[in-house]
Amino acid sequence: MNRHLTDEEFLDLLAPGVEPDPAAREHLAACDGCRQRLERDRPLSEWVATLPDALDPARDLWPALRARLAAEPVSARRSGRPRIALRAAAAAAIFLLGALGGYALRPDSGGPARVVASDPLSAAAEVQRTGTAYVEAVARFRAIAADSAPGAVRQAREVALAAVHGAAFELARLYPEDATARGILALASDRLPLEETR
Amino acid sequence: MGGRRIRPGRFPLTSGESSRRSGRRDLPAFEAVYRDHHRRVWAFASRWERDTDRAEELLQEVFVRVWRALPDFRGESALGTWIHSIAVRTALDGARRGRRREERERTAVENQPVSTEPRHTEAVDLERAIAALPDGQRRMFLLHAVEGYRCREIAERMGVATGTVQSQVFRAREKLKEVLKR
Repeated sequence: MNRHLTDEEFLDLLAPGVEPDPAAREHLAACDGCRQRLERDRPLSEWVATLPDALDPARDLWPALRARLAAEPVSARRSGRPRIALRAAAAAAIFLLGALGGYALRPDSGGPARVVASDPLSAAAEVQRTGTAYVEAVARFRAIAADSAPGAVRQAREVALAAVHGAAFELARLYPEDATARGILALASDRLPLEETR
Repeated sequence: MGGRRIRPGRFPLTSGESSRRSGRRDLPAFEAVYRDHHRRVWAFASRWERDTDRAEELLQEVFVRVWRALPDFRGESALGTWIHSIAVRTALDGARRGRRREERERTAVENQPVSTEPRHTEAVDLERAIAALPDGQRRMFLLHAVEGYRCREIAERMGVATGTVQSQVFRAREKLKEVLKR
């Protein structure tokens, strides 16, 4: 790397536990200016590293927490059942919509090929393909809905929404701070465990 | 603390199928989790929130979320690491909700010098100097310099530009370096 470290690269080098970019490390070894800049900040980083990992609150906070937990409503979500049901509904939605539209999710029918993504870009491409197929399936559903039994249409609509819900749920698991995903979930249901963080 | 790895199905809150089916939860077992991990969460919460009441609220909210999510904890990471990630996320959620208020505060106090009056002339108090930073600046600094997040990650999680994080972290570092020189 011929250029000096950018501010972002420099700060990454100062963040504890962050693996430095190999190119930045290589540059640092060869550049006195960047190395001196880093050394000037090193004492502060060392000082910050002396901060204790654990501190005692001034009072015992457990009694208040215990009271709040004891008042927590028990819901089925704790057992994980809604998540399983949601995934099943999402899968059913894709299946049902495909069937309603005479649309099979096979590569030779124009549907998304089953791809096992191994990197973010191919995973994103897979999501995009599946999303396009979903939109097309809903359009086909709309086209035949007028001539179908109301009960079947209502049921299909429910599973279609469940698929959207399932996608928003997975997105919110990935990026819990994503306002759009959370908004969809908030509109659809208040039963999903957004607190899950894995 | 924080290094204990819980295997799936081994955690006491999830191992009792009968209590799980009945919906009852094991508060004594959870108290043990709390006792094991609350000091680390408190270290984070009390630095994140300057006000003690709000830090206590944050700690409580973190453990409520842990309580709700624990039955689904599969032990893919150390329990302490998992709880700490919930703490960071909970704090960020709260920060996003209160960002407008913090922006006003930051505008008002950002350029004020850090109070560098140490508790004792010989012992400069880093905790106190960090606490004196404006909220947004302090939080970005904590996430970067204490929690070890990259600026890009912080920006993504806080919903701000990477450049904003960089400039705030630099400003915080400059202020703290001044304290360190004394």
